[in-house]
Amino acid sequence: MSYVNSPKVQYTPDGRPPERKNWRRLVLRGGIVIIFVVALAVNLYAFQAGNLLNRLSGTDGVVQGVVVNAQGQPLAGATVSLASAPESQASSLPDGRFQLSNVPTGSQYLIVASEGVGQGYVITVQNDSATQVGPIVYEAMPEVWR
Amino acid sequence: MTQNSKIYKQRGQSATEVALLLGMIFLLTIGILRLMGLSLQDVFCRVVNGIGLESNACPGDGVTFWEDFSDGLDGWDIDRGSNWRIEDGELCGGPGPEHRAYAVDGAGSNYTISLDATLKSGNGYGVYFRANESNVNGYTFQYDKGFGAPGAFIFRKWINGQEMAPFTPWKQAPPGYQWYDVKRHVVISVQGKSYTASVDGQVVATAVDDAAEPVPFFDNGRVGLRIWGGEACFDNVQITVP
Repeated sequence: MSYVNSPKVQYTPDGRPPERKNWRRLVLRGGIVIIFVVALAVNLYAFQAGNLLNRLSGTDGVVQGVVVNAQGQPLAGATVSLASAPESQASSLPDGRFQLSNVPTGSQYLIVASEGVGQGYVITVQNDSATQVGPIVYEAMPEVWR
Repeated sequence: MTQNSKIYKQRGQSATEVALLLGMIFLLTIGILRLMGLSLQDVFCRVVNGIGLESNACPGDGVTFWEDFSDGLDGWDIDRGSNWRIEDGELCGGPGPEHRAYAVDGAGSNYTISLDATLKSGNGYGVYFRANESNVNGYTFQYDKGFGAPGAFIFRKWINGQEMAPFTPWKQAPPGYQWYDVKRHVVISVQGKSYTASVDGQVVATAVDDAAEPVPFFDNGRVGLRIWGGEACFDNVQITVP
């Protein structure tokens, strides 16, 4: 290529070549900033509201209640769980109270077992607040059921 | 004896050597088959079925699991109980705390289970079906001497390892029913939501599980055996698909 046909370079007043905007780099940096901000916001929200994984999977419900027998007396030592969350299991206290945490929200099947026999109750577990159920009346099993 | 005959004798094999060789090959074959999880009976039955013949020693069409306990406890997952054993060619369990064992193969959705079972003592035995996890979710048919007097035949449901209150009516056994020391032929049909059990050819229990969300319904799982509070023996366990 001859000198005459070579491309011209326009210089800035201070003698340096003009800066060219690198749009690809700008978009990339912007994307990183946006992702960082969103991640920070999600984590702050999850930190405030509870476990992030549980929140994302919808298993952030809490169930509290009391198990009583047919006479209305507290039933201690009953095993309480949800059919959909067997890993969250509780044993009722001497006053019959129990709490299940990190359980799925929505319509659920509560299992209460005593003396080797389980009974089921349909409940609705609320999101964002502890769901109060009960008193759960556990009917004494006929002897033949045991 | 000539030199040639000596050479011949040195190079050849005696009948004893041939027998030993065949014995070793036989043992090696059995070892390889065992490594592959097969018995000679399995091979025999595959050959018999392959050429279109029938044998009383072989399972028929549609059989996905067949166990006569000739191979000991192979093929069974012992879940609970330390007193499972082979006794006179049968699988026996108990006495003691609850015993549970699951068939390693044969899991599925719709199937028919048949077996021979003898209650020796205690409250009864059960047959799991559509069972999942060690902390079982599924169902049992129970030959239940302990369920009232004089005992009952009943289907039960298990959720989170809890034996639930009966979900279906049960059938009391006739007065004077011989619960113990009689080998009974038990057949359990599992089709969709309907379950039927027969003992010695008589239908003794039927059940329909109409559970709707959120009440669990189990549509798939393993077959197993349980004994509680006593002793029982099982033989000829067979799972057949429609």
